[in-house]
Amino acid sequence: MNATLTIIRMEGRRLLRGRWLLPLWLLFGVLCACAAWNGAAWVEGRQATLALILEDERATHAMRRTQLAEQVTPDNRSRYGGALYATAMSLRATLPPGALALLTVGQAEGYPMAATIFPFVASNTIFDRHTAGMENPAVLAAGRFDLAFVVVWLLPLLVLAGSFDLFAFERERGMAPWLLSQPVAPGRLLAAKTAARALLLALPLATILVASLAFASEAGPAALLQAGGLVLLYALFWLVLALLVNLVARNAAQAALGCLAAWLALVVLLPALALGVADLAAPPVSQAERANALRAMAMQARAELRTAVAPDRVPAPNIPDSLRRRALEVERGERLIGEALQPYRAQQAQRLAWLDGLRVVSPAIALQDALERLAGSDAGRALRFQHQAHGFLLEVRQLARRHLDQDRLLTVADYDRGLPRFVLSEAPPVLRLGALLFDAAVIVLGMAVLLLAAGRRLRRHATFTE
Amino acid sequence: MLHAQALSKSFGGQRALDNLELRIAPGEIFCMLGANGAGKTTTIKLLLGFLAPTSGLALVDGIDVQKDPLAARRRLLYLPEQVALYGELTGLENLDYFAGLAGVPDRTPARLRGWLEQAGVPAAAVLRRAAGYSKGMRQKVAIALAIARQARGLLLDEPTSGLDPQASAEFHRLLLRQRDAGAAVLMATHDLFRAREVATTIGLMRDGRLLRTLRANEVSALELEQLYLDEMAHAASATATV
Repeated sequence: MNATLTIIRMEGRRLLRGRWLLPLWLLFGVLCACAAWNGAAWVEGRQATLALILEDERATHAMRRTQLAEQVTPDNRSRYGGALYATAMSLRATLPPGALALLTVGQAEGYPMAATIFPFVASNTIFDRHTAGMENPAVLAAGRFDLAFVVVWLLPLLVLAGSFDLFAFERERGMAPWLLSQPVAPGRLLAAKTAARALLLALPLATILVASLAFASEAGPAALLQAGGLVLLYALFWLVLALLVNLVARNAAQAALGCLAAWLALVVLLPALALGVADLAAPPVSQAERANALRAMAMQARAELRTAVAPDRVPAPNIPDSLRRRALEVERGERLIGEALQPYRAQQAQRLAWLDGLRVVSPAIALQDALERLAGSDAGRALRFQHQAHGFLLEVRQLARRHLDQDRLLTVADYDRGLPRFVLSEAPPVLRLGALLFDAAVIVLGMAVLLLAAGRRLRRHATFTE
Repeated sequence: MLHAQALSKSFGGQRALDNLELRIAPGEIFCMLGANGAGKTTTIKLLLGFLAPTSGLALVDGIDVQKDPLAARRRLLYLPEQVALYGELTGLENLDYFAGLAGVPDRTPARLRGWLEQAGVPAAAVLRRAAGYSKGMRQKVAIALAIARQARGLLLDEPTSGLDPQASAEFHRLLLRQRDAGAAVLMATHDLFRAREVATTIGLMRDGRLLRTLRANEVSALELEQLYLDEMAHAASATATV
């Protein structure tokens, strides 16, 4: 144990005297600060949009209530009632950003964050696509500069910059035989050298990231701990990779090239390849094809109803028959839309399953996935919102159906009691934690594979004197 | 203390060491002389456990090096041609580090300074970074480590090549002190005259074989040189015949 502590202490002293450790910490700090600022600005923009949407809902309700109270009388009810009722139950469903949303924009911009819930429209038209946020083609091409980008892409480079010559330094200078002639097992020596870097490189970098998050967000300690733990694991993975490269490379240049190649493969190529595999195995849904199918269904529904239209009743009911026909049209259309969308839904589910499974290909993908889940900007949460918004629409339709059946207009009292409100129900914590643990397990598994390979290499070339 | 028992090593089909029999007792310095490729470094690597023998045994203090290399290395100090130290650390810190690896207890600054002083490292250099040390100074730090560790066997692989005469003489004085303290020393060298001065026994090696052993005090420098040249000339003519 004493020898191990001696190695860690001296290696730490060497690293601190190397004059690059502090600039490296500072660089990472600056990158994190910039990314956190960028992320916070994105969250702020999104919150402002959502606030406007909800404010608009409140203003509309207030206006309708005033109109009901001041303009609608038993005499003119048939003139105003239908028009008012058609727009009275206009509600909004919104997807608020998570507490750690600034961590990564993730896939949030690929999905809508708000829906207009209105009982007399088809469910496929409720989502405000334009609020997704992918307005900038440059962002689409390069992705956003957020904390996840700093961690997934840049952190490995910093860890490798500080550990690429973990043992290649000694091998290049011919120190290896002299060092290994000391009565210390090579495995112990290398483990202790790696541990010193874990303490001075991986741990501070993870701490800097958590500090940036804590400073720029209102996340609780549990979320911060989870983010810090994941980042630390990821940094350790790269440290172990540097160790393995150092067991193979004969000099620092070879080691640097090896580390760079590994980074390129795991962070750049494999994720792209995984996406390519997913595209081949489960291609994404064509939005144009989907829109055309829906348009055809809507037209069919309208044509079917036109043939069976009944004349308006006299005297006119409180809610005009034209609105009942519209409700029937929507209901009929909904069934057709459901059938038309079924294959697209299955295709999307299959694609998501593929993408989910391909997380295991690289720790970089697993970490990106985990950070998106932590940030609440993952596809799962967005789809959960869509599903719940759809459920809310059905609930509002049922309410409207009761009003139609009873021919009862909304009243001021209805507004005063409050109309139904959408509240997003988040995934159960145990499911969320399970997904995070799976991602962490992928990183740990990757690390274990690297450690096994390192151990094997060490057993074969224990003295590095060849 | 250092014992090679019918020790052989082949690389592919090439015989690097052939049936070496060697026994070096405490207080003895055995100098191996021979051209490059004679098998001197291979012998040292086998005794350190860096290489596995093709046949035979390498023993250190009765310990089979292959079976328990760490126990063997605990008794040994290896001095390569180039002792490399960590340039970012001072001489004192380097000694602290390497002594720590060997589990030397009570490594107080005073004791570390004492060991360095015994090895001839000037007090002014002790707290200087080792990046600026000369080869001779680095060798002295290694000797200080031998003192600190009380190494019972020293394996030296051409330790004085590239040293100026004064540094070389100083190194050999230190070596004799270690021998007097009871260390068994195996030194591979090309320096015939120094070898005759410090060695107890001299071995002439060629093509992986120990051709003959001589008592150093029974042969003059000139005789040793003649014997060495004869052996090497024999090797050259044998190669030419082939």
